[in-house]
Amino acid sequence: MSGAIGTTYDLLLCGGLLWAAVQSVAMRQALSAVILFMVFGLLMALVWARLGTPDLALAEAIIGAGITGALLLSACRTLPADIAGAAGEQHPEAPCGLPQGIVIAVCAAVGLGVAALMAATLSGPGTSPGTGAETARAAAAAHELGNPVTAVLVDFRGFDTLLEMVVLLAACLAPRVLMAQTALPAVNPEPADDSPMVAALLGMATPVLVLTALYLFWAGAHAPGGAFQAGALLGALGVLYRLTGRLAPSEQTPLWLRALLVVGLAAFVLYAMLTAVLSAAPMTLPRPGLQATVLIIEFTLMLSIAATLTLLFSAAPGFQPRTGSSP
Amino acid sequence: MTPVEWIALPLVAIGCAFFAAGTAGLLRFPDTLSRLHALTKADNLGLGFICLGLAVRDGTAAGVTMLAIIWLLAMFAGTVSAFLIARWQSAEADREDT
Repeated sequence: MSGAIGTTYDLLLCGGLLWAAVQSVAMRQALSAVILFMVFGLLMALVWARLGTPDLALAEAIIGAGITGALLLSACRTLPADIAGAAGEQHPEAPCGLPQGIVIAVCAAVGLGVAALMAATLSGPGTSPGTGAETARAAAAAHELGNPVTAVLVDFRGFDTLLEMVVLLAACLAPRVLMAQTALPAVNPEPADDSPMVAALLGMATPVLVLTALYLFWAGAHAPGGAFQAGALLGALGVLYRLTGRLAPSEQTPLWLRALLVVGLAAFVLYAMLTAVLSAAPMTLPRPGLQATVLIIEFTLMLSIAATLTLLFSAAPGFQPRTGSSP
Repeated sequence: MTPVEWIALPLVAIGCAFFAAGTAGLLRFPDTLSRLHALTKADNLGLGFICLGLAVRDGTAAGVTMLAIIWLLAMFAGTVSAFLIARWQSAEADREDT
């Protein structure tokens, strides 16, 4: 986008982002706050896209705005009407005990500090604005896999992906423990929605989403995309099935679901151990058969991410197909 | 500007006008059903005209196909969500009557 129009667009985007952030915190009604949070997520995805990182834009749109938004909306429905609905006069106090002035001062100080740090990094001696990007590009050029983000993620930051998977698994186990030890109300006890419109939407959305997910997974090696985006998209499809009652919650976790939850992490750990034995350091990629190894690991990661996100949304120990169709 | 852009620009402008009108309707109309009515016009026609304009400007087979798919997907999703909101609204109205 050229000069003035691009700048105007960026400024509008920044302003909108700040507005949505402030409004979603300041809103008294939970429902409005959640909707503004989703708007914030979508604007954030646009910002990432403008910054030239479609990977992050996709992840933010699917997880930040989509799945988190759907979860929060479901939670809103179980809240008492006076919090979720119209009048919020019963809650004049700010939710945290601190006076507003202190909160604003601390936030402003942290924000300015981060801004100063970033400005120093960008213009400081010995570094130039593009250093990080150039390093990544040089790394990608020296690598069999074309895309810098994937190269950095798999090659240089294997631990990062590994820990991400552990965090996802832990995030899935935490509500499981809560459900076992407390009597929480079921968040979405929905019957199957048998409207012909919904069936038609699912009939159309399923192949499109699966195809897009597989494309993202496949494109991850040389273009924006990858296991995380693909898995999140499949997870969104699972949420869709869960919301329309095609997937019913179950009291037991079926064996195939347990296997799906851990297969990605297991493959990754196995791979790390193998590389630690076979070569100098863990997570280094063996040169021959590089593509195949990475693809297999990424595929299992994708399946695990999809299963984890769907289960996280289900708020139940497991789920099973209600009408014989599988997710 | 090239002749192609002279065709594309008005199409995109018409699309933007539909979005502006749809947004005004969403904010100003009194009840859920009329708001939905305004919103779906923005989705269908507004996005349709913008995609059409961009397709004229793009001109490649791949680009035109992708824009068409984007428009169709948005219409599909918009139709079903509008239907669901309308059904919820009528169920709510029934509940209030009884």
